[in-house]
Amino acid sequence: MTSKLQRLDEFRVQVPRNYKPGMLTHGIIYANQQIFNNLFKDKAIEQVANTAFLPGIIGPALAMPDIHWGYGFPIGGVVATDIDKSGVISPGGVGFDINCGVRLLKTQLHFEEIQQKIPELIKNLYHTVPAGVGSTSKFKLKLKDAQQVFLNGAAWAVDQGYGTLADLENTEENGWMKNAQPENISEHAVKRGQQQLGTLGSGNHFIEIQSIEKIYDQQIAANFGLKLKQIVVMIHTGSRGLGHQICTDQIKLILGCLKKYNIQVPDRQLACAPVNSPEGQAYLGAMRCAANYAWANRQIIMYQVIQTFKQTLKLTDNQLKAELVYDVAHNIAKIEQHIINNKKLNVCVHRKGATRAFGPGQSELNALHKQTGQPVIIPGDMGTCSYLLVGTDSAMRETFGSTCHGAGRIMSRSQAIRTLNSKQILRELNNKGITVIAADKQIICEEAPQAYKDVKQVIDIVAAAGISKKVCRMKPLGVIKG
Amino acid sequence: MPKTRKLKIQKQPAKFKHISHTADIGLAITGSDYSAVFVNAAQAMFSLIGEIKRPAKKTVEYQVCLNASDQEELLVAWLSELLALSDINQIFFIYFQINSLSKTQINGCCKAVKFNQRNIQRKTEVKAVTYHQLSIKRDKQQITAKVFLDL
Repeated sequence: MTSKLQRLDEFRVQVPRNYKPGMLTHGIIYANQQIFNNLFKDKAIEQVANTAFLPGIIGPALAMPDIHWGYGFPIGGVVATDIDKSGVISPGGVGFDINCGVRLLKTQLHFEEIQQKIPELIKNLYHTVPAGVGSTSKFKLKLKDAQQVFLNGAAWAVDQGYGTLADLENTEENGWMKNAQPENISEHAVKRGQQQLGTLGSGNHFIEIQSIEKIYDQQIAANFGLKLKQIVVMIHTGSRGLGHQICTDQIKLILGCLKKYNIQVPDRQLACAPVNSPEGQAYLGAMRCAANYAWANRQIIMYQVIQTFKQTLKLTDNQLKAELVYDVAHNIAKIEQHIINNKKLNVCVHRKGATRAFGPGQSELNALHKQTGQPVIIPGDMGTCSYLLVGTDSAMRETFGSTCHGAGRIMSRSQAIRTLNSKQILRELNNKGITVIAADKQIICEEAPQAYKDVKQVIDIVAAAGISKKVCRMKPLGVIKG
Repeated sequence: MPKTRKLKIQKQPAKFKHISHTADIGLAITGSDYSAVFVNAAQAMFSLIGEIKRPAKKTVEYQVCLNASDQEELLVAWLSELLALSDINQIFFIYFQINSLSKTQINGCCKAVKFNQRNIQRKTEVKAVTYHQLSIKRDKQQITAKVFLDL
């Protein structure tokens, strides 16, 4: 099988259509040789090949350089289907944590101003934002409010006083997707959603205080109001139990569509239905509820972060000047228009552990981002840097306007727990000047730097391949993990 | 409606092992019959979610009745339902009894305790039960099931 793979250039490997019988198109993995060599340790390549079975697929089945073994889709997978040619939508191409995503908040603070205050800030953030397994919200959402969250997402949160209209302009989809259908979500999903709004969750979710360590593009950084040593905060979380339940419920329903629409896929987790079918539309409507909930979740958590900064540092809003740089989703399916072979087509783009990276001039972007390209926020692991990039025209041509989402795991959680020592990891992070609070020491091992790829490599690949452009690099100062 | 009773609960030994996966975790479960596999799978999943530190005095009973297209999908439905009930009601299941089981239907009675820090040590958040590499196979001596969980 290995011999069938073809390296196209330094950063792309082709999985040819004859790699596996039944593939409708070829696959392309963005990977340098080092990342590529590690792909054979699990089944990620086969998963790229499997996604090429999806009916109506247009262009190649793609995988970003943070690729790793997922379920159904590989993590880092991007697949587009042609809606007008019975192209399908697959809940597995979005994942259970619908609209897991990340936002970046800037402040007017300088690293030296607050360096000594980081431990106190981290401690206060940990006490303010519910985090960890089983954490529940301080909100007790009534049903009618929950329905509004499902419909209006971050706009609902702003309406309740948890932010400003400017936040919505700097959020993908303005923080809410139209045509969400709460009637398509189950009672279980609603109940889970009612209890968890404004909570971080656990696993790889985090809130991290960072400072800007390097600027690659002075002009774009200036446009975004970013400078060296500036304090920023990154928030990574998703749709919590609501999203998990919606995906669970919808996959069960869509499994029946394989027989109904005569679709054959090599993995049940790739169950799908034509986008324009009742089942496809029902999934989209339900998925949008979860996506909107996740944006509301990150909006509320950002508000809590801002209040904590103000209270801890005894600052006013004018002194802190906290503003949202951008918010991106990295588990989502979107109906978008893309130019394929000189024709504008309506496609359903699945991004499973991949980020939208629209280039300059795209109509979906606000006035500033139409000039610069859409901001792309890529978190590193606990001990390494994170990055801010922008989308490019090349991304629009080659990857349906998509790029990577993070470092990508190389070690299973169980192996990390078995082989790593949480005290030693904490010591190493503390020695680097990073304050860490985690709900559980097991998470320290699971999320250790050694469990992830080198994010710098991933970033260098997407930048060199032209699908994203580096703007700045941020170093971690303090982090809370769920 | 859940019923509240005071009961002494004996924990049954479970037969399962973990399968390594880069991002998630798989369970390989064995049993002498299909009911045992379903019970053992539930115990395996909850052994990831938490651990009993002190025996509980009160339990709450839940009836779980589900349908699916085939037995493999029924296993996912069973585990998914228990996961949802656990999250919604903030409970930890400690006992599973299968009243009836066919290829497409299950009727079970399960007992749970409320999560609190004194009784239960929380461990891992299980987001969902997947269909990835899902299988239930019978050989001469036992039945083996494989199911992956999203963490």
